[in-house]
Amino acid sequence: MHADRHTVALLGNPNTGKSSLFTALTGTRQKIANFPGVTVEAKLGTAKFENSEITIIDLPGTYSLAARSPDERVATEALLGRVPGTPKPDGVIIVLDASNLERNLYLATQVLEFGLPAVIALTMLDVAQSRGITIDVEVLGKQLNATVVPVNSPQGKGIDALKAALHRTLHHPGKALHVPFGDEFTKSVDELHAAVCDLSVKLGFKPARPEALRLLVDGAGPFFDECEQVGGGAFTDTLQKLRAKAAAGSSLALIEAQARYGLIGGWVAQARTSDDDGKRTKTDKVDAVLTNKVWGTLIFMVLMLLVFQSIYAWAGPLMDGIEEGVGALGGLLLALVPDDMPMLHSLLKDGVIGGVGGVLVFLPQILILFLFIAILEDLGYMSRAAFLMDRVMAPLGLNGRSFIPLLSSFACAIPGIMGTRVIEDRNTRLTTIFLAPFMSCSARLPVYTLFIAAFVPDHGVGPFNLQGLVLFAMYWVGVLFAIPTALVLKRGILKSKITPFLMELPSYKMPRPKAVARVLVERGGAFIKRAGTIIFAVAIIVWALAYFPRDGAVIEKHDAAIAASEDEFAAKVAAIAKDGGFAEDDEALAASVADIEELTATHEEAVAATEEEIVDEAELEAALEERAAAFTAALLELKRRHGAAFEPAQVIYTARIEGDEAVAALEKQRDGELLAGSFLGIAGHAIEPAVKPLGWDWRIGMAAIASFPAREVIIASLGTIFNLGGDEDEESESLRHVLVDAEDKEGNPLFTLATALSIMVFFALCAQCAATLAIMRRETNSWKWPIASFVYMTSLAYIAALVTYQVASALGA
Amino acid sequence: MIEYAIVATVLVAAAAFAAWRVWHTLRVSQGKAEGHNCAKCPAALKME
Repeated sequence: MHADRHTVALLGNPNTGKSSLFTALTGTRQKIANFPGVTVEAKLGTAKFENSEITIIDLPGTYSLAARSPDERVATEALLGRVPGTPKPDGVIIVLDASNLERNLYLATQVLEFGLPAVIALTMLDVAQSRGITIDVEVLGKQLNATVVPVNSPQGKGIDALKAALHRTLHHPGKALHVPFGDEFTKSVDELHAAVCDLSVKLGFKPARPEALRLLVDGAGPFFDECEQVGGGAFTDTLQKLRAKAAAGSSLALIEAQARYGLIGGWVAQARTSDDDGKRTKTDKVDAVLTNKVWGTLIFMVLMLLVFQSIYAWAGPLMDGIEEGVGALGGLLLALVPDDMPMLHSLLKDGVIGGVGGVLVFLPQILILFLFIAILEDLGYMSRAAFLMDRVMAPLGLNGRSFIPLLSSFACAIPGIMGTRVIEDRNTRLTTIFLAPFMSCSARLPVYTLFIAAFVPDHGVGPFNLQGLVLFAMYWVGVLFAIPTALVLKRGILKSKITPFLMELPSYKMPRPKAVARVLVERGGAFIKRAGTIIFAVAIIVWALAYFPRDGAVIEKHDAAIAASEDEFAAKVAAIAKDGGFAEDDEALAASVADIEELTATHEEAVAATEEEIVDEAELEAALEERAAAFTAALLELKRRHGAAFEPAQVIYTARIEGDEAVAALEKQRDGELLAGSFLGIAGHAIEPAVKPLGWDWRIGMAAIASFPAREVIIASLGTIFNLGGDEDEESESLRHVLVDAEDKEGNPLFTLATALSIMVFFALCAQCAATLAIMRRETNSWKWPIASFVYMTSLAYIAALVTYQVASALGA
Repeated sequence: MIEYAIVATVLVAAAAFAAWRVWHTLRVSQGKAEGHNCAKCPAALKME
């Protein structure tokens, strides 16, 4: 039996070792408490000391009790025992980071104003000591009117002392801290407190004085909304009058900060001693370079360049492996389909394998990108990147808090948009939400890499590769267009003041393989899931639209022509054999043809491999000459071996190649006509005039339109459309080759570098993600913003793609 | 006949899935359903 039962809230800034202290106090007996209506969660655990059982509520880390969002309001609500299902705390443990005392004490002054019995857990003393900082715990405790206990949770030091101090403190009533704000300010808080207490019946609770203080200073937030709802215009008028009176021409936030930091400054001066300039930790030294305006930016750019270079350098072999795997699996599947089922054969080959299989090939690139993101994030570098970019945000009128959601959006815009909840200013939040889809998310990566690999030359540019540089540039396209958009919004309809932003730079640490692996598994899994669900469904629908209706007359006409061509070839072979004195089915003649065919195929493969391997022109020429000589020698050997059969076999072999080409051309013509007559073809031709100026034909246009639910669908759609249109051949296994070989109506290459750039720019800027628009609607509670975003981004994408194509074409690309 | 039956089944399944996705996305947009668990999504960089 436990005689004593208490509840205590654990509160502190982020990254102060709060969670490890919670674990040290409670062990593994923890449960998650869900707070209704907010995204944050708290943990509940039980600590035992002598005959007491103390329930500890680990509240989310926060820098201040200022509550501009429901998430930030949770800490105050929990301190006051107003969270349903969570007990009211009898006391509080405030975690203070000894190496960052002033900033941590800011929150402490706000918590101590509630008058709850409090104990201070002083963490990070080792870091403070390594910087030459010493803290007099006794003096600090006297000033705070609370027991200060130094703790080192990972080593278990100070935990029992903390429990003992807590046990003692909980049996004595706490005393509210008085912060000297000045008479006018204090009077206004009292008056406002009285005013909100008058609303207590309607509110359903009696507001505490520190809540009135927050209301006075912040003038907004969930508590304001509640009071406004029950108090109406009269309450708002009272608040505005009191705010004006308390501010007396100054800023209320400034008055609060000055009063609190004034008090803190006095405490710290007495309780803390440090070496003259304090020792700089390794983190400080590294940060001096990494957050330097010039060096930091340069390192950031080089690092990003390396990431994009690696995507090309490493993904290739892995992609080839997946391509082969998909091809082999496809072959097995197709072998199961009987020959008299051409429609099912096409569904599998053109819809499933050509569509979804084509998307899966890009898995290695997604994994490599996230490998780097996970490593850099776990290392602690991403916060430095955010710090660097923060400087760029201010001239755009954006709060530093906007940068983190925007950085997240490079992976996916959805968590980026949800992350804007931390931005208190409505206009800044709306601007950030509007800008998030401009950042190149991971769904765009397959689109970029497909077109870059196919149409951008694989040249070296200094130490870098041109393909990697173009990929790097594509990631900047969205940013470049986001800048003027932000300027227009923040200086126009979404004007607001810039509020100060504090961001913690966590210490560097070695990336944890488990954490990195988790990110890779989850991202890889999500990509495969998308390929197997939404992309699969759209690919099947695109296939059906491109396959039906089948015009019987077209099929009949072309099949007759194909049969005629085949008959013609058979007659030709018979005539050649007869002229050479052989029967049509002579075994020696057939063996000779087979040998010539095999020798030629081997030679062609060897030539292709040589061309890929050797870069130097002179060297290549010499190697090719050598190969040609070897081929001639092998042919002469065949001639000697086959004797009289060789000459007619050679003529038959040439005739066969011509015959195959003729049949392939006829089949391509048939497939092209069938595709043009399909539902997709009819719709595509109708929209072709609109996409023609972008350098696209109707097939690219329809693939782009099909990609509006999700960007990666373009890969599947292009695969399906071009396969159905007969643009693939035996040698063109990958979509990249299919696109390179694709021709327009006049027989010219359909894709040029200009076309590829135009498509990539379109995809960089277009709002092609239904899920993002849905989240935008949810977070703004209005269709106005997603519609505006869709119209604006799509128009911008069209214009930018048009300009890109026209300029690139004029330059001869 | 078997061929038509298989292809028709696949098409109906794909169309039904696509229709469900549209409906689900609309519900997500109104806050009546969760898209995917964004709080746990590793794409969200965890920076405090």
